[in-house]
Amino acid sequence: MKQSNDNKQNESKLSRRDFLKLGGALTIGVASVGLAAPLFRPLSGEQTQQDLNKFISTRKKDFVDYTRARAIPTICFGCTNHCGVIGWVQDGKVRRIEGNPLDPNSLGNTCSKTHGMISYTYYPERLLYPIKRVGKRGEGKWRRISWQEAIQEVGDRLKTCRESGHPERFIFHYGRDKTKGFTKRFTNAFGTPNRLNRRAICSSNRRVPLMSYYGRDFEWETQDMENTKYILNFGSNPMEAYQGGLYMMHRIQKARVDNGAKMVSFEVRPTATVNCSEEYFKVMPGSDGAIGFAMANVIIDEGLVDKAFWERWANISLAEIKEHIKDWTPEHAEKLSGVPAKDIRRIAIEFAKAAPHCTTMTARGSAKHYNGTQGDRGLRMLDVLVGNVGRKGGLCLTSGRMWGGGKYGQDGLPSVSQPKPKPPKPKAFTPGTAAYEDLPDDIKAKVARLDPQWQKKYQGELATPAEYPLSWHWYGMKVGQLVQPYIREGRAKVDVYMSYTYGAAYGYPEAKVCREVLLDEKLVPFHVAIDIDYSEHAALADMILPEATSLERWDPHSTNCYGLVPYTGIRQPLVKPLGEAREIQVIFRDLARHIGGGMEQYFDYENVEDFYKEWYKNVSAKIPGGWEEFKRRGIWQDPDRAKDYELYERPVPEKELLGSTVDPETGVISNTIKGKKRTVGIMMPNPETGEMEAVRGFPTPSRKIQVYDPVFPLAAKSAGLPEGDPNGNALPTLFTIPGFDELKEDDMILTTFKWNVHTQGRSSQWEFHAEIVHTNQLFINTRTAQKMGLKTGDEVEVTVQRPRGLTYRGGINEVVGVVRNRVHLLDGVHERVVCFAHAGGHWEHGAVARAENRESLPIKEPDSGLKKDFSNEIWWSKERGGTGNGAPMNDVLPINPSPLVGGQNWFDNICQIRKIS
Amino acid sequence: MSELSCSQKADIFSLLGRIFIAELDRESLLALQEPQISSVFEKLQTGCKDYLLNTSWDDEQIELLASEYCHLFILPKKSGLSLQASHWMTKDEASHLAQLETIISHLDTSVVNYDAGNLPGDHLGVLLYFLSAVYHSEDKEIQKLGNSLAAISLLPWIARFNEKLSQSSSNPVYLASGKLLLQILDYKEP
Ligand code: SF4
Repeated sequence: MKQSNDNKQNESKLSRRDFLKLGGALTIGVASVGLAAPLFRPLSGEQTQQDLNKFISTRKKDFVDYTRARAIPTICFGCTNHCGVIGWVQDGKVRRIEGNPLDPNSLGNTCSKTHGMISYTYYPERLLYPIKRVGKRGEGKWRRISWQEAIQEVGDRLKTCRESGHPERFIFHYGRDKTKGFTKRFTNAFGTPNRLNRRAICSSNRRVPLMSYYGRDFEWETQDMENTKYILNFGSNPMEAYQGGLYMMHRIQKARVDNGAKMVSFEVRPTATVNCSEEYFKVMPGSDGAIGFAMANVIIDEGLVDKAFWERWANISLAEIKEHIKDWTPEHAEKLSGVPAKDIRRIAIEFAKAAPHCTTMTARGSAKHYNGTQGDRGLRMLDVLVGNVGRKGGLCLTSGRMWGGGKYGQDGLPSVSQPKPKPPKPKAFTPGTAAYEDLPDDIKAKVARLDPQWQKKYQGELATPAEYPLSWHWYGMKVGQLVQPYIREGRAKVDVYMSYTYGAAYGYPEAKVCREVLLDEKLVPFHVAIDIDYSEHAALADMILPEATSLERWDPHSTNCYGLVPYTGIRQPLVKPLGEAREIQVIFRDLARHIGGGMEQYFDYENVEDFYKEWYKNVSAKIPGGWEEFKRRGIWQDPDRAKDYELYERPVPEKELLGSTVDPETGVISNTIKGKKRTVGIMMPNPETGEMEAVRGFPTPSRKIQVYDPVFPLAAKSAGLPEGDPNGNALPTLFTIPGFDELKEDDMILTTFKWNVHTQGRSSQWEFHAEIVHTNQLFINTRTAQKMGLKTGDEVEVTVQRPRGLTYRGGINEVVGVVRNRVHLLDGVHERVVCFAHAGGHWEHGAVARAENRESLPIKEPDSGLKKDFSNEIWWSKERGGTGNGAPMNDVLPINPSPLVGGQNWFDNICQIRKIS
Repeated sequence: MSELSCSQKADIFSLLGRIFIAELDRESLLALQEPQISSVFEKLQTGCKDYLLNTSWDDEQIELLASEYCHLFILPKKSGLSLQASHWMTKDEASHLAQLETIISHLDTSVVNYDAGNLPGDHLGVLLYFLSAVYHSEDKEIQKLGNSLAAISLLPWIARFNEKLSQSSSNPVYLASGKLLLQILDYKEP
């Protein structure tokens, strides 16, 4: 055999004459037009010669030469924190990233994930060209196309859709969009309300209690961590994965070390935050609210309420609340959570005594449950009771995160807003409009049941699902996990589906439903994906447009400041997009121009930088050196501005009082701003003089903290919830997750978490991070495992049941899915919990994510003289004897939106574990 | 018999650069059909001439070819055939090569008959075009560096690349091109 191969080789060996023939043919130019056109001009010059000689002779490793490299500030996109960073660029390539010390949130710190941006920009399987499918959808057959062809085809389809009178049939579905409204500019200009997000997957359940209590502008709290003395942590994990986590973690540690602050954590597993806590209590999933209500009872009973604060700012009397929560005692909470009543009492007293230098910290852990919204409303009450809200060391609320979009606490800040002209918002689906008439009759009936305030705003089942009015009451959080099921049910029609850095086909609950719908060309006639990567979702597209990475493009930046002084920053390109990747701003500009019909006027720029220069012109005006200096610094903050303590006590500016009216009963001050009647403040007695004065209050309808919120029963009635359902209670309410009170002996609760070196499912191809964490084993309590006869490394089968309650297919007696995984025994996990990181088991995103043996590597050729290099090997691939890349667990998690709000209840999964022998 | 001149070598590298940098189009196929070229390709890979001359290069065939290029090199999921050297090299080799990318990034590009975009500096097509530019130099000292540069940038990985190519593709042009690449790197004047 070897002989014959050698012969074959010899047969194809070119002689010198052949080379001359070939060389001659090319040189005389017979083929020069088609083949031999050069890419580079011939090399010349002494410098080139020296450079090449040096390269050949030194054989040195590449390094960052700081005498030559340029430091350019930008904003990290490694995770949702968006820290200010500085990239070192040498010879057109980003070599290193470090923190920007001017960032008042990160204070110059970064985490390892920031280098993920280098990984995803330069990894060899990055998508560099527009491609179009040539086989069946999902078959994986593609061809490269030009941008001209791509814009032509997508643009034609969009144009047809828009001109058909049904612009809502263009669905724009995004995963992580930090363009601060730029993509909305496109969808608004187009006229579709269907700019769908992943808020429900992420955080609706925890945003709603905040917005209900404090107003739309405070969808996210900003604890004054560095000045606090006591932190009550209900299932949040800033030390590893949390929006704002990096900003909080060093402040928490500073408070603990310098101020002797204490942190008490209620969790289901031993997180890094738990490890930094003074006390840790394992709690039954979904019982955080019970602990909160119990603590509220203790604080009231012990006379530790800050009565002055409560009476001034809460919108309900203490007596009413006391009566409402009286049965939810520490003993009751102990039964539900497993936390001893005596500890609940002790901690509640400690917390209240530390006021106002104390704060709660809640996040997805407490909120992503069927009872999570109401439970978090209970937890929110603790801060109001002890009066730490907005105070030094307490639970603070800082100026609106979106300058230009927010309406609260921004007095004196330069306006930062998109260049004009701005497109109008898409119209509501009211009777008589084409979009409304297109709705199925049963949906029309649901719309008719909505309260008039929501009927007026209704824009179809994808953007404003009638059964989830609280998902779009404050702003459009949508219910992303229902988009594909709703399309399948015929609740919405699709002409063009555009996904943008979106991974539902892998990372959403019951992701298989999403895949089935995307594969159905009747339901989704055209799917164009915009992504930096060949993801599972993009793999189900008809066309993929490669986007510039965060190191190659512009974005505005604003987020809440944990130093409590608002700031802004700019993401700017450090290098040119690789291959033919393009910035979203260029893609949308070209599409808008192709579609025409007036859309093009909103994208009237050639150079993307000019667009952002205009966007930030008021900030630039504040900086000596203007725009160029802003770019050089990357961050702007007013150094003289006071911290955002007690914003609610600030006086209403004179100009807003001019022409205002005051409600004689409530004291609420209203005025007409930009043609709309809005509340701007509230009349309150001056605490010292007793004289009435106009102060800001909170941006809620009552301008007070809405512990009581009538929007809940209104939403329940509108959504058709049964009378008395606790989800619709105007007061924070305790109830158990359906099915949790009937758990059988062997039922377990399956929960998920995020690894600290990964960002959801989008980082699995970052090879250095994948080398650290590449799998998603199932963590289980040691004693529980031993009872089952399990040891670390054993394979188990996990069977997940359909949840009960008023949710998607709720109460149907069925198995959602079965998956195999390996267990890892860990003492600190709750006895009834099994948990796994959801970023595992990828089947796209390249060889690193798939943990596939790289056959290309020299290890296969030990005799070749090439050095074995384990650092470049996927040593965790199964072929190499490793664990592989884990299990695709998301497929077995049920679609489970919370009633009214729609937030995914990630942590309510009842399952059974069976050892595989 | 005369020697294979540097400019002829340069043209061969340029030809290979074109074949690997993008899918073949009608123009490049037309050029490959030239008798002197197709006969050399036939020698490298039996059936290549027939494939080049007797395939009806209609839209469907051109699309198939484009799809094959995409499958092999743009989304190399099954083939593992990344065109980037860093996919094949050890970290140390790739790190050293990055310095050459630096030099390449400073070079002027000239107009080519397709849109090359801003390709990574370690892309096979770019490296081949770069070697072509080295051999095309009028500066003899630079020309002389061609072999060393090829040895550092291509030799560590091109044999494995070619082996994988021969397993993943049955397209005679790519098979012949892989062999040609190996042989031109190995070429020595007698
Ligand atoms: S915390 Fe997030 S934004 Fe900040 S450096 Fe890490 S990855 Fe980047």
